[in-house]
Amino acid sequence: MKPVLIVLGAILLVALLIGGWLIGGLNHVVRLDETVNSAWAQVENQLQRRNDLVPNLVNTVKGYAAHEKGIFTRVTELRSQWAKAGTTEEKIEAAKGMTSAISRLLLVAENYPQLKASQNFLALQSQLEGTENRIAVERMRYNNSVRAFNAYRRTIFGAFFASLRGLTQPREYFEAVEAAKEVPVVKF
Amino acid sequence: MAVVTVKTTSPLTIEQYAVELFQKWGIGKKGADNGILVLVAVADRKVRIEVGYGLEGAVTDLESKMIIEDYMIPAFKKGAYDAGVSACVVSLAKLISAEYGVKLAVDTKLAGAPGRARRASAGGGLLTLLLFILIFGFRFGTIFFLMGSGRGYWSGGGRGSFGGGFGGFGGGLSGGGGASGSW
Repeated sequence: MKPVLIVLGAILLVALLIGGWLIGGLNHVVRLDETVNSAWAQVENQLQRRNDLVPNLVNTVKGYAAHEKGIFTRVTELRSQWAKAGTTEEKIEAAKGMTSAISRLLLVAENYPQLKASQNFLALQSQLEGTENRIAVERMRYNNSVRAFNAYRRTIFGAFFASLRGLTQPREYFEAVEAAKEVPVVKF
Repeated sequence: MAVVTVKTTSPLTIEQYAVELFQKWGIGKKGADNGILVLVAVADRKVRIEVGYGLEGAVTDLESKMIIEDYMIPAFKKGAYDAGVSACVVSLAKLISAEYGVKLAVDTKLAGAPGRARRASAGGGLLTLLLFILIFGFRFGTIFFLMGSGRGYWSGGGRGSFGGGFGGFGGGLSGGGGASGSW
């Protein structure tokens, strides 16, 4: 075999290897990005579901505690804030507000034994619990996917591939709301 | 369907434990996500029904909650774990079979007596269950029954040993649907 052919073959092999590596890296970063997107879509589904449940809860509570106006208007505000939210960050903000508003609403309900015992309220409460739990699960999966993407983006080659794909920003985590435990002010 | 009893889910909450275990074992078929996990944490006195994505329509949160409150907790309070679990599994089977349009070929009356702990007929109940699982297991290839004394963690050889033949663990996923209760 002629040396020229061997050299050519070697060059071809190296080119193929580099090409494969490039394609693999580019695909990998896109796949991570898409995982984050689909995980976020799941989070959004559950947040939407919660927002759809809330008016029912508000109406039920209103039937027993009509004078607790502050919390009702807060919920309405937050729902429209959610509807207007365009970016992930805005949606996360609205969702965090809603989480604490709902727990305040449930705490308000604690003061009304008749309300607490009503079948309607119990049903709503278990649906809401289910939704909160779903949100927690999807949020965990979303955060895991964000972690994978952000970590890859910070590796040497990861940063290179991500910039080639125009994915220059790290994705935002969706942290749990700790302030949800705040106690409502009791007025006498 | 998997029924799992553990001593405690600590340090996780029962909800977190259920979702992790569901994913780890892959209960239900991949893509269809038609599995259900009934998790009983005896020392924590907590129970959870974790519903796979694909069954969330058939077994709603409210229905899960009602099964727990009406059948499981009253029985568990008396220490009649098998009766409570049997009633739960039969109720779930009813809901699922209604969704898939399948007739159950077993005595579904077991769940007809709310809160009545049937300790005496535990043997019969278990037999019914086994029968039911066989029928259902073959029908969907997804229903699986396991009543172990889990040590609290699932990292053992568990999956390998019973994952194969039955096809009950096929990579299904759940997303926190279902309900929890404590007694």
